Amino acid sequence: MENRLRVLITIGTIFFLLIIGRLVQFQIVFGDRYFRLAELNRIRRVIVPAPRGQIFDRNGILLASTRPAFAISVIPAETDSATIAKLAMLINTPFSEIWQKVERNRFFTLPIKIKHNIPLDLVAKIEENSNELSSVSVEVEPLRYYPLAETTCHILGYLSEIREDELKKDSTYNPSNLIGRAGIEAQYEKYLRGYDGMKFIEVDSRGKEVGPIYEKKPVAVKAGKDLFLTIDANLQRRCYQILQDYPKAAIIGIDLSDGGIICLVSKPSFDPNILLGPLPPAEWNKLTSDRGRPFFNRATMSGYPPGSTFKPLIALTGLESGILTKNSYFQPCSGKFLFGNRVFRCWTTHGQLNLISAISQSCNIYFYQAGLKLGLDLITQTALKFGFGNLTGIDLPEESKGLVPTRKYLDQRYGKNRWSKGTLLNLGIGQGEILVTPLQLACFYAAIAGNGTYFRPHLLKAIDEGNRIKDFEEQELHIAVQEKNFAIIKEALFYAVEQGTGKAAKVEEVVIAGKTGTAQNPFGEDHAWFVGYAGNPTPKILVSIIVENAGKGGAVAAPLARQLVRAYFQFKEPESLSPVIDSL
Amino acid sequence: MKPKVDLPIILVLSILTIFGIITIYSAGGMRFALRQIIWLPLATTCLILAYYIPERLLYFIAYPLYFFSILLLILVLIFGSGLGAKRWFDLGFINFQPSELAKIATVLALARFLTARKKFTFRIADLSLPILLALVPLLLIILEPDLGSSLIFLPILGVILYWKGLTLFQVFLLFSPLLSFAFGYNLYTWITYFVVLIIILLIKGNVLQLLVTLGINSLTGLLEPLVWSSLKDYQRARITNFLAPWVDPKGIGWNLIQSQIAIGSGRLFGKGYLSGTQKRLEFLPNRHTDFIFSVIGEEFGFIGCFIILGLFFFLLYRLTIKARYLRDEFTSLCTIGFATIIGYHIIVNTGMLLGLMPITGIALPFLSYGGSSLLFNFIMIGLILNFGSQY
Repeated sequence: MENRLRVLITIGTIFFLLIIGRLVQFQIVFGDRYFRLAELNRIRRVIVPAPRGQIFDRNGILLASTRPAFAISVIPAETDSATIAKLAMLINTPFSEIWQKVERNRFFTLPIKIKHNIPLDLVAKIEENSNELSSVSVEVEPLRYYPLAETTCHILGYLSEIREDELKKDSTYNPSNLIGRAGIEAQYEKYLRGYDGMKFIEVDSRGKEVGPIYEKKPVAVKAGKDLFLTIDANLQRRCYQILQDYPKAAIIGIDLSDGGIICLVSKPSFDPNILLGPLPPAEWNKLTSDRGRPFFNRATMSGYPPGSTFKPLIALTGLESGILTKNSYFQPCSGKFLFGNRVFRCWTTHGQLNLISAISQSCNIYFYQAGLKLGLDLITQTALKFGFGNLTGIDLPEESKGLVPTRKYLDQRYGKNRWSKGTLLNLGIGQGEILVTPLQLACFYAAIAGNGTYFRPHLLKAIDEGNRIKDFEEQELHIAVQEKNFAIIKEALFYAVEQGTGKAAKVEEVVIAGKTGTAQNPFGEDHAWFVGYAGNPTPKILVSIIVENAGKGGAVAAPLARQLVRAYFQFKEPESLSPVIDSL
Repeated sequence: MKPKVDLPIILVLSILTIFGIITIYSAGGMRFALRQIIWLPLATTCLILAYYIPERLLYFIAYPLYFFSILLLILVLIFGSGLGAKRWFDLGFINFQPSELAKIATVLALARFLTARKKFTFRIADLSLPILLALVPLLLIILEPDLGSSLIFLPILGVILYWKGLTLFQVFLLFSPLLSFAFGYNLYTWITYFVVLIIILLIKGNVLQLLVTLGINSLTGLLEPLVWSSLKDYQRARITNFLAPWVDPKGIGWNLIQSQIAIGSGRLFGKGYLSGTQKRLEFLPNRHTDFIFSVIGEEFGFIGCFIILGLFFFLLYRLTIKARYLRDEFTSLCTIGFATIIGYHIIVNTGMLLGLMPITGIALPFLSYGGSSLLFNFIMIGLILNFGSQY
């Protein structure tokens, strides 16, 4: 008996020790791990989306803001294909589209947004079926919207879902975030973006919210900063209106006192608001495959031959080098110029002209000869000096350099000295290889207006830092050219509008000077240019306009400049507006 | 009147029962705590009655009680109620589980049978009736179906036979077909088991034992796959789950995982009374009944579990050693049988929550919510105290 009792007690003790051992394992060795698991069980982390900074124009008119919208979220780690299939059916979206997003973040335990800006009836549908969609939730999220829609699209840009590589690079983003993709939204992402907060709620085993958790401090939301742009919303709208008849065009207005862009429109444009909604793929394809390339900002990205707007640069080159003077004359204009066995033409017969008249009347014959006399290198040096062939440094991610056909470039392109002198003749009148953006041309004329001093063009005016407004520090640029030479050019530009090719730009109430241009387009109708500035007694606004495939600058672009200048100075349009069409 | 009451047992019993009610309140709320309290006077009365019942009367009613309980087990299969099974009689105000009675009755019947046999050896003639006494209720309860409760009859039989005089080796031989059955789920485990079995037999057994044992073992081993396929889905799932709970964490393994998270997350000192999050947020199934030990683990930590297990161990030890002093064989066998029942419940219940055993619906004595379980546990304690006071 004694022995048997001992055996039984031993067996019982072994069992008890096993259980104690297991308790030690669970509660002491792995206790912390299980504690975390229990916390994960009950605590659901909820992202509190940070509002993105708003964007205002120079007068405080709203250009970009956020409004509440519904979004559908899924917790990837807690969902399964059956739930997603059900959801896909409800919201009429391809299963694969949602599933991809889920798979990509398979172990993410926070809700990720799979559909933005969903309409109310879909919200109702999802709520009705919430029993079968336990890992799915409808959240209110701040949705970006742009009140001026397509009018400001190239300035402001747009947002889109963050990419995987961007997530990896910056851990302060999460997969639900949208990120600035173009324009100011991309350029100033670091100011505009907020930092999402996190709150912790307690959920029961069915995932139902029980209440807040007090012992875990929520992560505070950091809102994005508001930006003020140099844009004038009213003028911007007016610009868009001015271009209404032209499908492809760009217009820039710059405040010469600080380099701030007052208005900038590029056409065709797009409505950035639809990009964040439930945009059907067909719609997207239409946008991206549009031959007019609506995403393309023509004002800063598109290179055109400057045409006659380039003539002041040739003139400046001559004046600075001493090769030309105010009263330099060449062989008179007879409408054509024979060079080798090629005939180079002018648009009319000017006869004998001095430098100022040659600019204001836009005589090609004069500038063929001036070009020949100056030579390629002097001209391209001046062009580079004025910033052609380089970025202007505007605060937009989209900008192109254009092209200055330097000797080096031509040698590379055609072989050493294998390019013809005709290239040089063409360059004299701003045609041929040379490509400039409307913004580059604007900067050149800004430099003229300011006697070599102008400001780097920019869109940002100020940042609202919360406790203070931080103004944008504009950058003054200087180009070393003698003031008297600028004076000659300015005189010529004044006469160009007063009585020359730019007459259609003339505004009675204010001094306006500028130059028309016609960029030869081998693929179709020529592009029309006008660049100029206006203001009494000193120039206040600079205008640069390109209208694609519209014909001559004097006929098409100059009247548009007139309208813009009138709008800028808030001059009333004359009662009966008979457009002044020059013979040009 | 009886002079001696084992006060330490009464004390431990009181502590466990009161602690049980406190925990039931935490796990299931006031409603269940109150219901458990309502059972207490009845259970205590039964304990006192059991304490005073004459041993001769008990000996006399052993067989009738056994047959009565068998009858009830048959009736419950016809008239019983339960969730997807027929396990208890719904008497309106209480649910009565005849399997609870059957355990005690079987111990009494086995004790009486074996007491009558002065000469008991390892022969089929001697063994067949005790085995039958245990197997009948076992099979009837399996039919309910209630696998967890039914298996209790195996340790009862084993321990009582051992106490009566069989050697450990003989008990092993007796149960080896069941082991063969258990290991038969996989060919390799079965072969391994069979090799070990043969080695043991070659060392300790004789030729006859070798042949008979191997024969029966082969048979049950081969039977296993057949039985497996006839198991209910949930039973199969429970066994699979026990073997690999994390395979399907959102599905059927959930109970086990959540119970382990609850226990583990209590760490050394627990989250504090009423503060278990696993329990409160309903991550724990059957928190106030079968899974109450998880609540204890979560809220009172390792210290709490250790103290409870210590009390259980003390109680079992105290009950078991009584069997040694009892000169009367019937009461001695009963004592050891009852202790086995209580011990089995404690070990299987805590073991299953800790992933040492498959999940079976077995209550933790004195702590789990449940009137009839409390009642019969008290009766068994009363009887043991009764026997102990008589030497």
